[in-house]
Amino acid sequence: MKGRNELRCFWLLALVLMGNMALGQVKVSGTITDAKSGETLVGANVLELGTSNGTVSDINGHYEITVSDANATLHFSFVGYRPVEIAINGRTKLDVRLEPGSVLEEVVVVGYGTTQTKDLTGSVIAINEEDFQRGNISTPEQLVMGKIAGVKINTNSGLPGGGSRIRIRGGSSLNASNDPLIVIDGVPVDNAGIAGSANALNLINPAEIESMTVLKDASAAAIYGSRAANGVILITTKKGVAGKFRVEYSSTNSLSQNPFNYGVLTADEYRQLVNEKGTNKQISLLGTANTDWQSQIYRTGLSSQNNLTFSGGLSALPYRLNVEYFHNEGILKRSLLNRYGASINLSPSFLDKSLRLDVNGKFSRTDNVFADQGAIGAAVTFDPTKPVTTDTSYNVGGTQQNYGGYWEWVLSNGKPNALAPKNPLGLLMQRDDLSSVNRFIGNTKLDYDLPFLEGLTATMNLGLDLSRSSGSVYVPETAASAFHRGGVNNVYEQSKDNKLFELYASYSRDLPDNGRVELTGGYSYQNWLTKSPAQADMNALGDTISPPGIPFETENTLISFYGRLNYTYKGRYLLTATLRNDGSSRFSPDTRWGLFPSLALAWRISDEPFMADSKTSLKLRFGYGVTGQQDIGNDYPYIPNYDKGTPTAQYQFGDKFYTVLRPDGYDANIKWEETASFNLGLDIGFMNNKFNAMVDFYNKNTKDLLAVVPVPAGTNFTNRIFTNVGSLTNTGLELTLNYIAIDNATTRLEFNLNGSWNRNEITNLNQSGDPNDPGILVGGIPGGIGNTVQIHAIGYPAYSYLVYQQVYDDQGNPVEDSYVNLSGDDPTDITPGRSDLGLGDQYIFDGTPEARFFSGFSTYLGYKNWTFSMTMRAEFGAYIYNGIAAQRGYFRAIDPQSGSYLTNLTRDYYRSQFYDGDVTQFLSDYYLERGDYLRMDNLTVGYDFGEVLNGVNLRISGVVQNAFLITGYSGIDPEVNGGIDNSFYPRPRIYSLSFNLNF
Amino acid sequence: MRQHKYFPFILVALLAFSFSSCFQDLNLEPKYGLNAGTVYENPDNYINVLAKLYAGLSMTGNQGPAGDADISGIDEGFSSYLRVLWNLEEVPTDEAVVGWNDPGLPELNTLEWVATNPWSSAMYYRIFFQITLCNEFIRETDPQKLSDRGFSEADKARIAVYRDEARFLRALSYYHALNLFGDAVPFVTTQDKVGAFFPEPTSRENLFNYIESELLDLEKGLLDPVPGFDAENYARANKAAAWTLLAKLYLNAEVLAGQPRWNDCAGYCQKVIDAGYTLEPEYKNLFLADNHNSQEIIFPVTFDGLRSKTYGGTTFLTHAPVGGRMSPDSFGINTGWAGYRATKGLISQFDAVFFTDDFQDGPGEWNVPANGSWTYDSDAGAMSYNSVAGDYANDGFEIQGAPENNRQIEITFAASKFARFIDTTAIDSLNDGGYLAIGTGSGPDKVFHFIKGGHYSFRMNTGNITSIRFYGKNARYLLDRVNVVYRDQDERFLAFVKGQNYEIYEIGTFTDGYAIAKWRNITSTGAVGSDPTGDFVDTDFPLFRLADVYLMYAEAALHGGGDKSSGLAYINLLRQRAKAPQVSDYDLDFILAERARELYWEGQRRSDLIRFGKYAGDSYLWPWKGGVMEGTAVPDFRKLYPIPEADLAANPNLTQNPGY
Repeated sequence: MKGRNELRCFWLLALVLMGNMALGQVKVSGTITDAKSGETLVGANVLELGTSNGTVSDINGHYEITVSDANATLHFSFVGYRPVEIAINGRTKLDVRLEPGSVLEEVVVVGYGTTQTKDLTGSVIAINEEDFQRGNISTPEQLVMGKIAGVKINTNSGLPGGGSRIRIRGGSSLNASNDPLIVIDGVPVDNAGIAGSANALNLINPAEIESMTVLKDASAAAIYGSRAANGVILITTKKGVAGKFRVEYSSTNSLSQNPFNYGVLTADEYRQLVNEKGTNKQISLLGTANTDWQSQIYRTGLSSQNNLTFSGGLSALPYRLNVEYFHNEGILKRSLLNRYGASINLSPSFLDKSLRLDVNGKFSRTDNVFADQGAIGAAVTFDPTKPVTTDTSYNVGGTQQNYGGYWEWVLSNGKPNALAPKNPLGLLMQRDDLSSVNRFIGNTKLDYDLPFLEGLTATMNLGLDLSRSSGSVYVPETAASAFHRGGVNNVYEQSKDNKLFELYASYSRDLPDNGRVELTGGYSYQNWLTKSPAQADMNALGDTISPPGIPFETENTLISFYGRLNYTYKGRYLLTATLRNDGSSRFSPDTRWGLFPSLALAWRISDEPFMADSKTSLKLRFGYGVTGQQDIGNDYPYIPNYDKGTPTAQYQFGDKFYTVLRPDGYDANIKWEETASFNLGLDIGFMNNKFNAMVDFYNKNTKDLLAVVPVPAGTNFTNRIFTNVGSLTNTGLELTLNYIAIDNATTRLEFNLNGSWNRNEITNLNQSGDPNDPGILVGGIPGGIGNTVQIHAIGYPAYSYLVYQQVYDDQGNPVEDSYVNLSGDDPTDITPGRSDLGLGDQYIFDGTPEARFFSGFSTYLGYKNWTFSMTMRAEFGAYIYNGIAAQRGYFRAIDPQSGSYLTNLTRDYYRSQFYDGDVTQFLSDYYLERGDYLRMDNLTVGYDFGEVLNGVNLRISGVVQNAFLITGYSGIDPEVNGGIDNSFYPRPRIYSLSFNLNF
Repeated sequence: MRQHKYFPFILVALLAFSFSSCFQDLNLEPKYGLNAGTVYENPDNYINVLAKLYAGLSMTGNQGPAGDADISGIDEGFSSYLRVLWNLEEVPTDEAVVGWNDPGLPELNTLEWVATNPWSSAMYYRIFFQITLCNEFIRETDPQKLSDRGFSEADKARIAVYRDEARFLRALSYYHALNLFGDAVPFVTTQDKVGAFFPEPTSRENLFNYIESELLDLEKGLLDPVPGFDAENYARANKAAAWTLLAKLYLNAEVLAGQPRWNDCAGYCQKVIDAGYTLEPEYKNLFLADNHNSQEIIFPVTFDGLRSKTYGGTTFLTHAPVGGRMSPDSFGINTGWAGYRATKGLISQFDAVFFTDDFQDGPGEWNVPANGSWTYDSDAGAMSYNSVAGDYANDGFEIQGAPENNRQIEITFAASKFARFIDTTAIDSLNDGGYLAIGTGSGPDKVFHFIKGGHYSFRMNTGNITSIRFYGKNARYLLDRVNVVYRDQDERFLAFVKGQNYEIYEIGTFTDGYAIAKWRNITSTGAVGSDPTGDFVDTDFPLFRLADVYLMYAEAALHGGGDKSSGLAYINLLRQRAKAPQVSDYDLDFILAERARELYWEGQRRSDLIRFGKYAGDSYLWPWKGGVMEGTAVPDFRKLYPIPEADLAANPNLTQNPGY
């Protein structure tokens, strides 16, 4: 302990010591204009290189900045213009002309500071607003889908505001979170989700995001230490700019439609099948209606996203104020998201701009109506020969019941058959599942150029991320889905408080012999507190079904010290070294502190004299670093806790009931997992950077994996525990190509293509070192309770499929109950098995839910006032388990409970002709299908009307999202996170029309 | 620059602030619950920890019914100690099959499980969850520790009893371990602290002796037996519970440790019998929602529809066998789960029930001549049979088989119709259920005219009938649920046969095999259990009850361990309660059959069959044993379950049971 304290004290000391060296300051001013038209540019950014010292041009295009010394270099940038860097060389007046065009060299946000693209040593990609996906986008991460090599973003479903799965260079964890760390304006946010919200990120208005930067490799991410193993996404929101008062109004109005239905039997096909093959009882259960249940539950959703922004500067106070109203109807009837947002940014400066304040406040309120997604599965399953509504009522204990008028399967006593699927429309219409979530994310950042040392800036960042949610679920007592419990009338609440305090300082100076050094060091404190009160479970009449249990409260704190050294020699040899020391309350005092170092080197080859005249730019990057992961969903895994049972889990002695106290399993030595990774990258630009390529090769080794593994029986109060065990690797290659085909006064044509390969492999999985580890079964499937189709096994990728190998007849149709004998007792079968797993004739399929290769392709064409753009995404090599076909693709699935109700089949039955459905069949590789696809995410046509009224500019664009999908997958959508296709909310096709007015 | 000078001081102040918050904030503890250090400082907490040790037999986690599970690797609802134990003891026998597709269950039906079977794994981990928790509690209730904590003498005395109860529960779990897994299991006691180590197994004899010596020692400290509901201590293991467990240990001693102990078995049975327990007057009441009142139950595992909610235990036992035509209402539950039935192996232990069918379905599998046609009138909820005009000699349906004397047929008609019985030598009387039924004629032409719809039952006065025919006279008549049931008089026969086949053609079809209507969530007075939603059940599970002790005594007596005439008397007490004929003598085969009749679906069958040498091999076959409908031999190693592969990988000191 003592040694660690000393280390931390060293950091603080270093901070203070840096204050003891001082140099003089220089004030520079000038005007920034458009190089072509000569117009002044309002709100252009001016930054002193290597510092966070910056300003923006005012309404007259004028800027004024106090820099650390007379040899400083200033970086000028403005959206839509090529940035320039100019050394001031003692000048105090510097007018700048910016060329319109693409932004190739720009300032990117990295952890605790900014740098220039050309000076990057790590694998860092920034995507700015102009390259974002467009249209009806409800949540920020969708803005960069398909845009970044190595970053795989898949929406979970078509739910309005629904979440996404973000994987940066594969998953480096097994059971701990594989989500990247998300940092908004310097505040690492909790993306663990909040009760009542489909996705914690949907509380952030995508329209207010200026750029998103992804730190992919360890050398870039290690400054975030124990949370960075899965990469870091830095979100920068739009800031106020000094200048004249500006108003911008944008409105995007959309229609969403369900593009595909599951292929199930029509009513006539179903009747024909049952009459042909069913028993008399089954035939007698058939109805006469023709109902397409899927068309009953979906609708055309209307959405409208409206943003009104005011910006400008009141004397020295640049400000930006945005209000948002977003109404987003889902395609599933009743599903709805309403968001009301407001954000404010103030960026005043004081003391001759040596003290700069940046205040951000983002408030949003989302009101959700969650449709009962059980209706999606029910619509596939429900007997198509039954009508939607009925006048029939049933006598239940003397009362007439008609279940809201929806046709339902009832028992002879008139009560709903609890095992039978419920009327899909009845499920939707008889459930009010409402929530409202308020979230405030705010930070105040103070930059202070310390007067006693030139080049030293101290920064303090105070951040808050507060969420308050509440929700209610109401189902009337007459609804069949909750009839036996008398309906539902429940409420819930949750609060989350995330507090941040950061203090860091950066110092830069030029050294003799063309060297330059930049140092950053700091301290960070972050605390997360989540609370939910206990609530009773009640029926619709307010009768208590279960009394409140135990309230929920959990808290964790992370304290960190970090430092970074950037050293540049002759402007072409670059070195970045970082070190972070993290202490987490999640681990015991003996294991809670961890060190995360990184080192990166880059060589700008094209700046060497021998390439001085070349039109090629070339940079080689190498990085190595260690990052961690600690997000295991339990804040106290090392404490031997006695857990109190709820009032419904008591035990009776005599006539009294006693609350139980249970010792929980714990691991006193648990700590974070560590991912050591290296990255080798090459950045190439040809033809004066008209053609750019970036190639990265990486290897990530995670050891001390946080995994849930069996503990030796008799040694702990549980049979499986979260502990550090095993290791896995991710190896991959990324390629990004960018080509500007045409770039002249009227036309610009640009292509972007990225592609990524990743291979994941588990290299160890147990504590005893047993190579015959049976693996850990994962990947629950809908058939049976607890059946799994996936496995974590040594030597295979995580979530590999463990299946039986189907035998096919001469026509290529599967033969029921016939699987290839892999254990070797039949010499005619030569397929190698995995008998050492002791799992019978199951084998590990060559192909996992994760794509081996994924790619994004974007083009942009601007011609005069017209713009055309599109984004496509493709994935190859993933396999999807078609759980719906497995569940509803055999004849006996028509009658799951021996004559009490009927259910529909998928059309796959016509191919398989399976009669019976046993577990072996559910686990047949027949149901593994290639998940290759090509999807056009986005197709945009825009026209800029320019000035339509005095001072008012108008731009109109039309967008089609999810325009088409090309796939051989037989389900509705191969983009299934986790690979197991059960019923899920279809991704809509969306047609939008946007208006953008500014004046 | 003057105005800047105070900023560094603010910075320093902030640094100081951050220093102060640096280090304490990392020591965070859970807000709710207690930790191992504090829980044992308060004498009032001990009973709550003890409650968990008992709840380990019934509940699946700390939230009830689901959530915060005790063990993982299997669906939480499945993971209840009793539910897993019940499945391992019943499903691989003639008493039960389950039609569900959940992992590992189908292989239990056919005795074809592999070493990764989640049910045997769950049992194994459940057992060691109990043992580890008991070890901790026993360690923490050491008299020296209690004295060190400064507890009062009264508290110390009270906690000393809890401690022996924890030792009892540990012995119970070790008994299950030895019974199900043999001696391949790890052996951990209070000496083994929580943490990363690799426990070692011990020998069969050592484990047996350990359980025996523990029980002999701890029983002295337990509460005295109190038959019936004891408002103070009901459901706590008392001396009689320990004696019963000892009797069971000795009963199976030859199987478990290679040495028979019949004298000891009979001796401890006698101690229990002498403790004052008496048979519940009505057999069926033992399995109802108010069975806590029974004087027969020695050691129950308790459940409550409101306060002890679980998907295991009796909630499982009540819901899981209800399906087909069974009305959930009559079980006090909202819905059946339509999974479990009995094979004819169990049914044939009772006297002759052949088949039945419900004509709501039409002819179905029934032996109905092909003439005529059936139509279903869904509005009336009835099946109409249109016979060929004038040709009733070849219409109708017939009952085949060889019912013994005095058996009953029940037929329900929807409306007044004519019907004719042929071969009426079988018909003794016609009980009209309150309605008029007039019989005319005799011999093969005896005709009954059913004047009103209703329930009619027939008794046959002679045995050895091979065929009863029942023909419609009119061209058309309405039949509503014409159910034909031969019912054994033995009141222990609580099968539901309407719409169920006697044979099990497909295990996945609920209507194949008779259903068992033994467990209900209704009280002996007909009231429904406490949970208004009908989900969770109040019925307690009688883990040990007097009838079992009677039969154990009678069995030991055959082996010379007790007095056979007393054994016969105990058997006849059970048969008297069941209204079954008295017997004058008995042998081992009779004991095994009588145990099936008395104790079926109470989680004992596998152990009984093993003890009688009829579980493995081919000396006794039942449907689907070994994976074929008619049953086939299974190898001997099936008498023990496999050690989970996961634990073999986690603990290098373990070896697998042979055969797996």
